[in-house]
Amino acid sequence: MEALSILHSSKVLPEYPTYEIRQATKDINDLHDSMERKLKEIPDDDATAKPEISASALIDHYKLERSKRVLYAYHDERCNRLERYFWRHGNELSESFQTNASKQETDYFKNYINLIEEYSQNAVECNLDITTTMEPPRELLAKLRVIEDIGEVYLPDVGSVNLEKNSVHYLKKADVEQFIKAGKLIEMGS
Amino acid sequence: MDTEDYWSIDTILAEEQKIKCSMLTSIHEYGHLCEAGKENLEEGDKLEMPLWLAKSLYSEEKVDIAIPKFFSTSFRETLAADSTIVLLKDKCNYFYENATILSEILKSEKLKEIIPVVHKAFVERMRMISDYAEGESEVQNNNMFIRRLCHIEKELFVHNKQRIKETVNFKQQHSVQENYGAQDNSMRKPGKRVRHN
Repeated sequence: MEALSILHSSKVLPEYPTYEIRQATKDINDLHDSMERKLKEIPDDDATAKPEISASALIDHYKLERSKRVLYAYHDERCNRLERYFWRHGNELSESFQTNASKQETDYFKNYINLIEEYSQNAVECNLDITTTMEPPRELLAKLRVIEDIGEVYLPDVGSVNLEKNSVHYLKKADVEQFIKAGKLIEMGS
Repeated sequence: MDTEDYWSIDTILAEEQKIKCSMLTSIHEYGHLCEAGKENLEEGDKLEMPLWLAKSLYSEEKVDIAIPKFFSTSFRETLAADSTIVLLKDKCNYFYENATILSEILKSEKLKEIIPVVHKAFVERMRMISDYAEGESEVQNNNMFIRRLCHIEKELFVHNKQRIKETVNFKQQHSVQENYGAQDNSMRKPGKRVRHN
């Protein structure tokens, strides 16, 4: 529960709480065993014979369901954050995400990228990269400032462009989307 | 907020709110919920339990739920008098969510008096939140104001501020583009470098 509160109040991906998750899983198993033990005490032919025991088993059941819901919601939110990261920043996880994600989450991220790539290649007929131009452009060309030296790049519409630090260019955003996502180019006036 | 959404973290956290209940039946084990070291829960025992457990046991007629302190008569009177001065977060961070959940499960006559007060408070406080979001108040004042807000109000305040900022940006860009039409735009060619610092 504490891990869920921490995740909720944080905007990034907190460290994966391996110990707490293992403890929560163990508690779920214990609750299941406790519920089974109590149900065995109730005679098969009369379910209402021991109401105080069946009520106790009912609490076990509610607690078990609650713990499962907390665990599911926790992992679902972490997966959503990894997916959102991909759409905002591309397929290279930042250092903090890499450190804080569990191995399974890193695998999930890789598999998610593979799935998007597979979809782009096979399902989209007009050979469109679905990861670019996430926002509709206001103009054909965007005014972009170079934050980090990129050097000479070749762009399909304009040919060779030297993207050196602090220079400003009018370019098609879709052509340089990878640099914008990596934070090397920023759109001016946005 | 959808109080029925299984995956909603806000709903999960809201339902952690401790609620006073009294036992309608005896329950084996779980005496520790009432006091440390007690083995079984007895009929008539009074105890606090999280809302998620209380509402499940209430539906099975195992417990009776008492109207929480944050809906007490004195607090309702304060809310009705001037809801904008109340430090709602200190009373209950998920005030409106819990009001919704309780109103759905309890059939108490008392709740009929509570819901209109809560509704009126929400509308009044929303007006206050909109006024604050539009104001050019200092950051420190904003922080002091935010401390008065419960969870959903804080979210609405942040959203409001963001939308106002976006509207201002949009209007500025629009006026720049209008002016730009009158100027020479020969420099706006693809790949043209326009400035080098």
